[in-house]
Amino acid sequence: MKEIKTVTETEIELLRERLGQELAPAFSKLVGVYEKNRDIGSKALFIPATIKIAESGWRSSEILQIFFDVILRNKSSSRLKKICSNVELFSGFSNDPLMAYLGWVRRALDKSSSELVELVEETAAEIHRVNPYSSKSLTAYFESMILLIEIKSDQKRIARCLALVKKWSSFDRVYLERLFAHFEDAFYSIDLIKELDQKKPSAALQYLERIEKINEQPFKKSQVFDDLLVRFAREEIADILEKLIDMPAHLTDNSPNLFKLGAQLRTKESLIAFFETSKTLPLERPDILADWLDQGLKDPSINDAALKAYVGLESLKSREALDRLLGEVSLAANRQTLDLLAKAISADNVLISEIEEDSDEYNLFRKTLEDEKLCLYLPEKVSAFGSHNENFSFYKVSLFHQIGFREFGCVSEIAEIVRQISIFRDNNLARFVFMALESARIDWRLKDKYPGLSKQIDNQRKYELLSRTRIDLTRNTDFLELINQVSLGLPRSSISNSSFITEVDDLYDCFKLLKPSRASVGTTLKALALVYELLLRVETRSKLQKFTKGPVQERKYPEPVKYRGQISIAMLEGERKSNILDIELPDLDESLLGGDPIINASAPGNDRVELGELKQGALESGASAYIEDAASFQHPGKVNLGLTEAEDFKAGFGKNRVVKREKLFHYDEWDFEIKDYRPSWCTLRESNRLERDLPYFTRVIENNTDIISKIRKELSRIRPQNLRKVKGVRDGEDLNIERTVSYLIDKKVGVVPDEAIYEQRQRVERDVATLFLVDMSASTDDIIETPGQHSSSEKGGSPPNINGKRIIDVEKEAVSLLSEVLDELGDAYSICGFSGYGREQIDYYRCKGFDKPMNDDSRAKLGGLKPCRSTRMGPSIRHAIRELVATGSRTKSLIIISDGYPQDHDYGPDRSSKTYGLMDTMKALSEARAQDISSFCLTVDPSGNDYLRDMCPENQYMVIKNVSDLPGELSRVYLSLTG
Amino acid sequence: MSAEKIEIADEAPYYLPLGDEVEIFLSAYKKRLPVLLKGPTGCGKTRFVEHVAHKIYGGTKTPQASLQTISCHEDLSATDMVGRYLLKGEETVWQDGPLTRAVREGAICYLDEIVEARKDSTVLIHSLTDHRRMLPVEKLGVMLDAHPDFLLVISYNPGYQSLLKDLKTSTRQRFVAIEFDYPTPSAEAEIICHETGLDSDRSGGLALLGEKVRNLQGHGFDDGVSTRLLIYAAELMMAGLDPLRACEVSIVKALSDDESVQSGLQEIASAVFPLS
Repeated sequence: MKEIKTVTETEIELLRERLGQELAPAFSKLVGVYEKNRDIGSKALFIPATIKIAESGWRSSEILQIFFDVILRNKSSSRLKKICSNVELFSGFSNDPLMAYLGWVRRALDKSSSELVELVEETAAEIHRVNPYSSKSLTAYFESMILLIEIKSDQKRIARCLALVKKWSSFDRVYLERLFAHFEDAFYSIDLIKELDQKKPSAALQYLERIEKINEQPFKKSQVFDDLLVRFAREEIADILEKLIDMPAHLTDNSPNLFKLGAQLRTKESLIAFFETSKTLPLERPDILADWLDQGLKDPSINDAALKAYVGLESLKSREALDRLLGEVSLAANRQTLDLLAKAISADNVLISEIEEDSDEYNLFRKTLEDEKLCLYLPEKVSAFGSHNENFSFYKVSLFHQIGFREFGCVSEIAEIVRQISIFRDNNLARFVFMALESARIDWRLKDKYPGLSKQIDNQRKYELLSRTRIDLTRNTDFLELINQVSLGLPRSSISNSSFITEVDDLYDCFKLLKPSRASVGTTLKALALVYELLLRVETRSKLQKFTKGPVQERKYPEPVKYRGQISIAMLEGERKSNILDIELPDLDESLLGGDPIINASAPGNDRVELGELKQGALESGASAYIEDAASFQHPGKVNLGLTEAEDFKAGFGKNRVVKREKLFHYDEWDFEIKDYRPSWCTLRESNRLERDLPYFTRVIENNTDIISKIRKELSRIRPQNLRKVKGVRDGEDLNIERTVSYLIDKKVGVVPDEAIYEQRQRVERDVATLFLVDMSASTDDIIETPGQHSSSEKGGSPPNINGKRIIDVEKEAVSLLSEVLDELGDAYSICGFSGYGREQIDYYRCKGFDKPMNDDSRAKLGGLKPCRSTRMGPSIRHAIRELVATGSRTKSLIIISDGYPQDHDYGPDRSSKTYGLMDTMKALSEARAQDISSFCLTVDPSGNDYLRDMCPENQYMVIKNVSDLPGELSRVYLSLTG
Repeated sequence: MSAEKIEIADEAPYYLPLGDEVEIFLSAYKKRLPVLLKGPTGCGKTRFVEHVAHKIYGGTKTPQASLQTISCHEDLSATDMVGRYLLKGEETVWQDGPLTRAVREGAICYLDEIVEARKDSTVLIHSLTDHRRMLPVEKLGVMLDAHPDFLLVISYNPGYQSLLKDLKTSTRQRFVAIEFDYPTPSAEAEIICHETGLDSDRSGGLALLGEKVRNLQGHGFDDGVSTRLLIYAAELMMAGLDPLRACEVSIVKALSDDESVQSGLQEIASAVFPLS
């Protein structure tokens, strides 16, 4: 210090020289100022600091200029001391912090209180102390602090902010980086950030990272939002925030309520599930929503996993509770009833589809490609009408109305309708008017034909009228709305004051034409011409009277009438055409001629054509499958789908035809964690995409004649005797001599004789249905160990050569061999395979149905089974149950042949856990028992004992140790189940 | 004798012909060709037989004497049809079965739902249905020649027969087949109206309901609703029951045990008949 104090003139001169021309004047001025004041101490302070800066290298002159400026402005010597010591402190290996510091202090000197300046400096020193090498954080810090000078906010907030900085300075560097990067936003949300930080610093960090996006949301400033975040801060909030940022706009209006409800939830997972489903929840009914959530939260049987399913509307309990509260009717819950209703009324196969919100194109073909049914569109749920009955009546009226287009001749006359409409100059207008008129006619006809429906139709019309906008006839666009409303039965008296009084009267007269029950489509067309002309008149008049401004106005069509569904002329037209589908089938011909496995032309002479999914992707993959398999199709003798069939298919395409599609089924799935079913959780598809491989089957039969004869011998024991003589019945075909004699003796002796003296031949009939369910999961592709590795067959005989066989081969062989014998026995049986991937895509392949004979097609299908993907057993078993129950047989049995655990990628929340799948399969098997179906699981998985013991009741499973035993064991199992 | 005369009905049982089935039957009878009536349950096959029996024997025989109806079931044996020895006091007495009685006395023998019967009983009728026209009565050791008035009529419902229970070709090819179906709505309304006296509006409603429910054939149940059930519903309405409730008990509940099917049917009914 002493040395510094005696800073000599020479030293100052040297320094001035070193500073060069640019800085020297400023330096001289500074020195001059201090000399004048004889402030040697201060000089002694800033000159070493100047030297320090000058020696710091790059950008030093720039920094020095700021430094000189600061010193010049500074009036207090203590401050100068502080600044100079800070210069010492912050000039390290990078000049950035120093520069930022000086830049900040230059501004702060004038504008900020000395307390604030000191506080900031103190915090900076702390940052530097904890991490002396982090020049970046320090730089960012000072840059951020400029904000504090500008905003002059309350001191408390600033203090809180700086306290946080201080705290975080000891954390990972990323904390401060994020804080400074979003400093301004953070400053205004500092209270929330501090609260989050107290719960869990990483939560605060996660908030900071998204703070800008959140600040764009309308809910950012709400207390409920803050509370919600703090509530879940301990569990980290990154995913919650992401969900909220992506929240669709229409939900954000309801966000306070959502947040309030969400804060009641116990776990973050359920909160996220809640946000995800929120768009399907009745947000406009907060009271109901609160009740619904309350029920779930208070139910003691609902654990955390179940709560997640509950708020996600994924459990049966949850759906039922909500529907009950809403009086809501959902399509899913009433589908069967509505299906039956639609089929009964339309006398046709009907597919009821949901109206999709974002689609205004209702293309019948899009749906009909999947299924040959007539499509009706209904909303997913209806809850607008207060009570369950009223809500259901919306479905009913909408359904009848849509079918009415067919029932009352509109569909059959569509060609004529389209022709007539095309005559009008403004085609769209004519279409609109026609639909309004025709809808009114159909309503009237429905009311007439179905008196029970009359009141419900009236109610729907009333509701609809109430919900529509009031008509203002000064604008002629409202005339279109008027047409809609008149078609809904708007009373004439409700339109008074109008300059179009005669036109309105005429319009009512036109509608009157449609009212009598003999009014036909022809009448509608007549009325159309009248109304169209009327509209032109209105338009001309309003132009003359200048009701409408500007030249030609774009015509705005009114909102469609809700219960009238989405029917349009294009749809009706499409429906008529749907008998003759024109589908583009790229490159189909080639793959067909090669025997594409996907597409199967049925027997010649029958115009039906089976198609798999005709999506582009499917076709492509089909084509590639074909290429892979091409080698096996090389030999003409082995082509399983001959040229003639392919040609037939092509020819068929030109003609009228029906496309047979895959049926979809929805099944509930049992979730053991929530102890409830997940309603309609799985989608099972009865797939037609089966490969055919008849030679495989034939080969199996030829190579295993010995096994067949063994099985035959075994099963011959159950060949039923058709009639059995029962002696000693009270009524029968013949007298039983012995009993008759003793009867007569008894009578003679005076004893009361036994009257059962007849004999009867009673029929002993086998009434058996068995379904073989074959696991086609990918693991069945594994090659089975060679016989050498086995202990020799337990039954003594030499095992068949299974060298190089895959598990699926053995499964198929076993079923093939048994089926040969079963066919002779005459028992009803079905063979199905299953696989799939995920809950939305479970494939179920029927090789042979109960009602079908085992013909070459079934054999080829069985031969063509091949390993696919996962093993989701539950839904497949449920589907098998459905099929078995449908047979109505007295003895029903289900034999499952698999190679391992039931598993799928989304079979339960935890992919690695097998419990979910096991539990669901268990439940499915117990459902089978409840339907009087005896089930049996055969597995070739050596570890099968472990889980089968849990999954199946005792004596209803078997682990095959030596796969070569499978055919024999299978027949024994069959015998035990059905014998 | 006078008592018997009273029993002879003057009017044939009501039957509304839907086509030329009556003429066909009468022509077949003229040539004594056995007749097979095919059709779903409750569409009027039995009533048709009663109707034509009256047309043929009308005024000469009592309904009992002109028509022997045997409802076949899976335990119906040849013995049940032909007859058996019964113990009466201390004697064994031969008792003619309904078929034997019809063969002896000359009547129409109507085997209802023939496929339900056991195979041995169906074979029994073979000799009766060709040129031989005779019935072997094994236990008596005789061959009965059929009375000239005798005619065999059988019925079966092709709808719900499984493959196992189909009619044998050798049996089937001995009959002239008349096919029956449910009447058209307007005819059905007339039938309901005639049978029960129900007003035409509600008869029409029931017929419409019948038509719609029949569209569901194959979706949950094998047969559509029979005219008979519609008539039951009409009877209940005539007895003062609320139409919707009458439909529920006589149609909805009768057709299915499945709740969802029932609710579907109930919805159809409630579209036709308003809530009272």
